[in-house]
Amino acid sequence: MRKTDEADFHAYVSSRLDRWRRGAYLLCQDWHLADDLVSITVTRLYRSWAKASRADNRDAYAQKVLTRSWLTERGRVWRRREQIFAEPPERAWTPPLEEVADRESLAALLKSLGPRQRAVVVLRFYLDYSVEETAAILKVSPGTVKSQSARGLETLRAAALLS
Amino acid sequence: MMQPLFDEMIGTPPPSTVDVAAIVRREQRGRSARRAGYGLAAVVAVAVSAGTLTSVARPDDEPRAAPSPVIDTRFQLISTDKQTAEASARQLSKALDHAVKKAVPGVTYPSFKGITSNPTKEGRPLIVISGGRGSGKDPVDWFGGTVNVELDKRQGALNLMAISLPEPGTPDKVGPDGKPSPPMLVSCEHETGCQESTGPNGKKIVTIVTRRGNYQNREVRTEIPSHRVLSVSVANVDATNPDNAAAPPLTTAQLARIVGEVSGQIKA
Repeated sequence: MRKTDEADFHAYVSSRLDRWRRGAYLLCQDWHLADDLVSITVTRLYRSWAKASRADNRDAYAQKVLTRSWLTERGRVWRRREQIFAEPPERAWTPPLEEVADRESLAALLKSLGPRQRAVVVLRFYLDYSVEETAAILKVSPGTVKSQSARGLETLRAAALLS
Repeated sequence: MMQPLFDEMIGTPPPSTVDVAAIVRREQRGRSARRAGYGLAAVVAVAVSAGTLTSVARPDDEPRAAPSPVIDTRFQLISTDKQTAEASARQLSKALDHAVKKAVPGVTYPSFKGITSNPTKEGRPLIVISGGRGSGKDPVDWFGGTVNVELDKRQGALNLMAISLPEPGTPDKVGPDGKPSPPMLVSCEHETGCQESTGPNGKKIVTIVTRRGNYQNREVRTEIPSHRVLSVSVANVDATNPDNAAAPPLTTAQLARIVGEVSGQIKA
């Protein structure tokens, strides 16, 4: 990769990292998995940067990589299991207490959605992609996006009204 | 309307463990290694085609040179007694050292107190020990060892295990926590963070990546002769060191090459 392309890559990735992490967290609701997904996305973007940097919509291209990586891993039943390693104390991250109740109720709602439906909701209503962009990212028809988001949106609107 | 709700759910993100610089370095090293491989392949292709032309030009009655005998450097893993088990363990140590240096140029074996309970001396590769053949209720035999590794200032613990597969119908062992401890298999049946694929040598492998806090363990397994599983894994150590916090120093692709190389040296 040429130095100018590499500088472009680094600038692009660092400006998008937070958004990718947040979107990935909404998909899998686990920060470790979210960071793994983002790492996979960064790796794949680097490998295909010549193509990605010329895409009409770089963000949609990157989001496609991230979302499809999650759906692929989710399809393989990517679960966490405790493993025993030797030592050092783990510095666990704990959220502020006042956030827990609201986060848990919305988290439960998102979890109740299937993986693809959850992806549709996150792409459409958090990351603000259009129906067509969401369909292209997920490789489904726009009709499928509309029908899969309808139920999710209804559920979330009810939650928004109650909060 | 929706975004504030989602942001509330996300809350305050923890510090990122995504190390972009490390990812770029790893990809650049991989590209350099692949370019070197392509260059060598091109040289070989030219040499082969030159050889083909020469053989077509040779008259039929000219005797062909006898092929050089192929020396089989492979070895068996035998654990019927202490002497043969130790000999097998030494051969496995050598095979692993060769495979690691081939797959990961620049790796070193430093002496530091990492995740290993028995740190090796500076510069000394992994020393495999043999668990011999268990008796009575526990008839599995195993070979294994752990060594510190360092690559580009990133430190980790490399572990090798070659263990016999349980006979069908054998109940799961019980772990120290009282829960069933499933056997080590070349499948994702009991595993999380697991993926089945084909290794560089064309054999089935499973790749398992698990995480606990800032510590990540990467493992690749394959089946080897005599109904055994070969596992090579690496974990990062000392996550308080910023050079180590991202991930183990070896990638799953490197582990797959190591496993392929070592398993290719083991015969039935």
